[in-house]
Amino acid sequence: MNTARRVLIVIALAGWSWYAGQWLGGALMAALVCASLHNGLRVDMTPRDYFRVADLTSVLFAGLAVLCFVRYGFRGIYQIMIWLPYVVFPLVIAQCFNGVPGIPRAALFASLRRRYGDSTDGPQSDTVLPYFMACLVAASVAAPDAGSFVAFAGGALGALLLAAPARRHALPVRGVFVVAVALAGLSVAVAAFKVQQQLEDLMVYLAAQFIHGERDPNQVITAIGSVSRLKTVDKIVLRIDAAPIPRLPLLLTEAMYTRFDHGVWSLPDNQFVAVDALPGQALWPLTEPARSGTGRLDIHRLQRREVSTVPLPVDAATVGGGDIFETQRNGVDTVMLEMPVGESSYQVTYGPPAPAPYRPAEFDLRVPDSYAALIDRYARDLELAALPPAAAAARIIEFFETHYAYTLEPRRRFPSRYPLRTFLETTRSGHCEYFATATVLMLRSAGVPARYAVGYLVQEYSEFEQRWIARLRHRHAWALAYIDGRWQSVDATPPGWFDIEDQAAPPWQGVMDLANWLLYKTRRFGRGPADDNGLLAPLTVTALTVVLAVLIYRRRRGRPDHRAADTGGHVRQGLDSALIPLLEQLEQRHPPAPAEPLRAWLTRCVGGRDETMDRAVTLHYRYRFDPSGISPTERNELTELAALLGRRLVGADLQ
Amino acid sequence: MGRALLYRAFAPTWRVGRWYERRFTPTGRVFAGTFLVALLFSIDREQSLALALAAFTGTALAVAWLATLRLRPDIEIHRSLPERLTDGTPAHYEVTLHNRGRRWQRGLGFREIPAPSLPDLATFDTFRSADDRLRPWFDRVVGFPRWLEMVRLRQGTTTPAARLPDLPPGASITVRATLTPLRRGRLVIDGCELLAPDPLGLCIGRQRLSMPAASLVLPRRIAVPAIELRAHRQYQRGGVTLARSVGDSSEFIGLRDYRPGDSRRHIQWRAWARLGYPVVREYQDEYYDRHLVVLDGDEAPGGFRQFETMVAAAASLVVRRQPADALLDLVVNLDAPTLLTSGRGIAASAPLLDALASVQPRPDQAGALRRFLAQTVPHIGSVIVVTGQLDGEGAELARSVVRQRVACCLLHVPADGAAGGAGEAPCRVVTLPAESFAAGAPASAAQGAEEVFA
Repeated sequence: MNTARRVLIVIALAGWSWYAGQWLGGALMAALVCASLHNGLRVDMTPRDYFRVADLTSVLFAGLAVLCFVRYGFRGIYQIMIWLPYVVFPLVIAQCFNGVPGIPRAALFASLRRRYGDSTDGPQSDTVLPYFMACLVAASVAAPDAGSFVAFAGGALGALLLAAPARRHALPVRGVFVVAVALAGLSVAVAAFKVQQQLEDLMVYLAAQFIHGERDPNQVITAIGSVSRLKTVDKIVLRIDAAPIPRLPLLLTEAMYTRFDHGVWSLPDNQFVAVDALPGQALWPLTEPARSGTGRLDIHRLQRREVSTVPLPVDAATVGGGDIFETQRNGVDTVMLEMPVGESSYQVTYGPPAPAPYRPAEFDLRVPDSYAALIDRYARDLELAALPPAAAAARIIEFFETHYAYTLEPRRRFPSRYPLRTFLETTRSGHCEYFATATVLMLRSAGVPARYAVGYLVQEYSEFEQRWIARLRHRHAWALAYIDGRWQSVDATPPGWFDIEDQAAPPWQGVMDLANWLLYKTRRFGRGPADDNGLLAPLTVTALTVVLAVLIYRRRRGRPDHRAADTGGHVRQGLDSALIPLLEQLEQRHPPAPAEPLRAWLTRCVGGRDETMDRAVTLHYRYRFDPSGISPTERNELTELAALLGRRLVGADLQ
Repeated sequence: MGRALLYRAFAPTWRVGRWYERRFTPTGRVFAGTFLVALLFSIDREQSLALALAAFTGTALAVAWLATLRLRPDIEIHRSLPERLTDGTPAHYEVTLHNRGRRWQRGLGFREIPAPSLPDLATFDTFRSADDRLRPWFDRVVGFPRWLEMVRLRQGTTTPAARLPDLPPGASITVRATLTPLRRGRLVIDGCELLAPDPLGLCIGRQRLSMPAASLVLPRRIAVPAIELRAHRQYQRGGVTLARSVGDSSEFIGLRDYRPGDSRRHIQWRAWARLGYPVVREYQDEYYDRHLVVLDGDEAPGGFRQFETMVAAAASLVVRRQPADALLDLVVNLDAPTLLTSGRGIAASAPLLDALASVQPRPDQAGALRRFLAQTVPHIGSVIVVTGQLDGEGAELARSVVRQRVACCLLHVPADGAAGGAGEAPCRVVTLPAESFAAGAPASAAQGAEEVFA
């Protein structure tokens, strides 16, 4: 066993320990491998010695497998892979200290032990190359980002190829081949990632179209990535009739979590208790004391199990409806309804804001130790502790909106190591789960009780169905903060995400919507109001021809023009903002980065940030997204600010 | 049904495995294994970046494979296999290579390609391997390792690659190659191939040359116990030169008076008419020792392995040094019972070994063998019957010999080296020791090929 092979092991261990965070273990193992170069430390090993070492490895592996599968279930196989370099190392180091090119294969297979026993005549197996590759695979599981890992893997494999003995070809020729392989491998890797992502999206899309249901009531954890993996699925999962028109965006909370660790949110106490209905009514109060809300939502959804959690507004007052058999609620206001399986509906009344029935607990202020230092630093930098809770929440929102970008990458579920650290410090971009998690922890660090909420953001109005709808990709995560004696939604995800996802919708979304609607009508047949059923027959006949043709025609012409000033629809509001022509001009000269927040973009273009810009952007956002709009005075102010901003931009360009 | 389906999967699996072993260097095999493992782990992209690893290893293998397509060394090869080999004994022979090209040829390898011979299901089912008891339960039930062992035995030899020295343009070199037969019988070689690794050292390019050749593999020799039989000079009609013939000799010496018992075919009718009393033709007679080795042609209860040991024992008896004035005969069942004789200048032991190299169990010829032996034994001084079972056809053969008052001994080759008892044997029994049994069995299928491109 020569020096080059030991160097290969050290390279592999360095990469693995870097990505797996096993610095101490990796350094120790590498030091042992280097020490084996010393002739004075050579150890004579008999086959029986190797048997014992192999037995030790087997025991370690079995123990690791049990632990990982018990703790992580099926995904335990990835954890096993991460730890494998530790487990197999005894065999490798035995070979290193023995200084032989291989170990008896009988050590690895019981049948060969019977055949060869203690004899040294049996076949030999080299453990160095397999160990090298095992380290690389382990590193691939632990690596957080593809870029650095691709570079490491390419370099390590290149070193291996150049280190291999070859007599037929000169070293320069082999070097050229290795470089060619590295370049070609890089291209193949990039292409493979793209193909894999498309395949995965397609699979998730198809699976979700047919088998996705509601949240499992017994699912007491959610990992970062649980929401984002559904972001390409357009299936309509909620249909909402609202009276009056709700304040948008409408956040419907389906589940809440309190404890965060290792990229996973969990709810330690998930005990549901039954809620008593009001006497003589199919109405269950969700507040103490019972009150009736000012707004009302009729929510229609497919109930796949008799009992499941349901999405509700955070300030829901009552829930009711003929379909409900029983209502249960847990300690963090997650509500579970027992309803018939199939298309079911329930009515919710909500508002006005009222004190929370459940006071915050100690766990609503807990920041995990692994993130405490990081989060505290951010909280200190933002001076959150000195601000009132509402202002602290607003500052966090502003902070993320200014310095971070929305992206669906990374979509890794159960991410390894410290995903939030990567998000905050390195990538500075992510999806709603990262923003929500960081917001909750920062609020907690500032002394504001906060929870992690998962549900839907409702903002799309279906002209066809004449009601609000929520698709699977509208699934969202945000923070709930205890502010002014009640739990309030704090959504720090940069506001452009909804449009980004909307633009990524596939061309066949209209067709799928129609099919989904027909399915919904079929399921409702016989269970809904008479007029509802009466529509079914003519619509099924004509919709397949006329509506389908209309939808296809609209698709072929392109997406509906949201910028038309006279549309008057809810989702098209504010597209005549005075800032928009300016932004269009700016886009020609300084195009924004993907998902770059508006403030960050303008700051970059102007070369600085001031109150004029902040005010203009704030008014623009309010005009654009606030359902109540802005006053005429404010609109005039926006026009003036836009003109002022335009002059500054021209000046900046001249410079 | 299930077994037949399983059996059908053996050959494709074997071909894939053989291709994998021959096509990749050890480093290439690790790359291929990593490629598959990385693919497996990259199923869930959110859990690992193993797809990048799969892309790199896969690309490296593809580039390496493409590079091997350019392997076209212009080399002329001459080699002559020995006509006879011995089972289990490495045979060395020379291979001459001439580089007709204008480039140096470096790092080449050379390997013979034995003709593949796959067993059918019936043959496979009758095959018993002693290694089975060392194999895990699963392997025993499925039987694939046993199938591999059988294929390797039928193929006749493992073909380790030999590394060739660097070959300058226009030069010729002669290298010594080694071939180790794994079983007796005819060994057919389809050709040979030149091997060259790609620049990355992952794949092995192969240039196949059709150079068919065949050798006869003689049975291996083992230590057999010394068997002392009564020396008994016997009247041999026709003498040594006709000792291989069964029946009366026809080497004419002269005329003599008729004696009762003379064959009527030997009466010289003209002389009788002329002399008035019967006269017969007299032929050359000789008295000398003659020993006979009989190989029991019945199916051995221990199967292939036991029968091979019986053959090895018979071969070892045949080549054992005989008294200078004795003849040694061998009776085996080829297509029919056949007598072969060696000694005293008639022949060396080679024809006997040739016969033993080709002999197979012929239970259908048991009666014919007994009848043939009954005719032969009267001229024989002593007989050794090599048999696998003491209560079977071997014992019947011995009994027929003893009935003719000829000294006889049963050399018992027990199944799997188990101790055998004399029981109701009609004559003395000598049991082959277990260590001889192990040595007589064909080589284990576990023999691996030497790695040339490690």
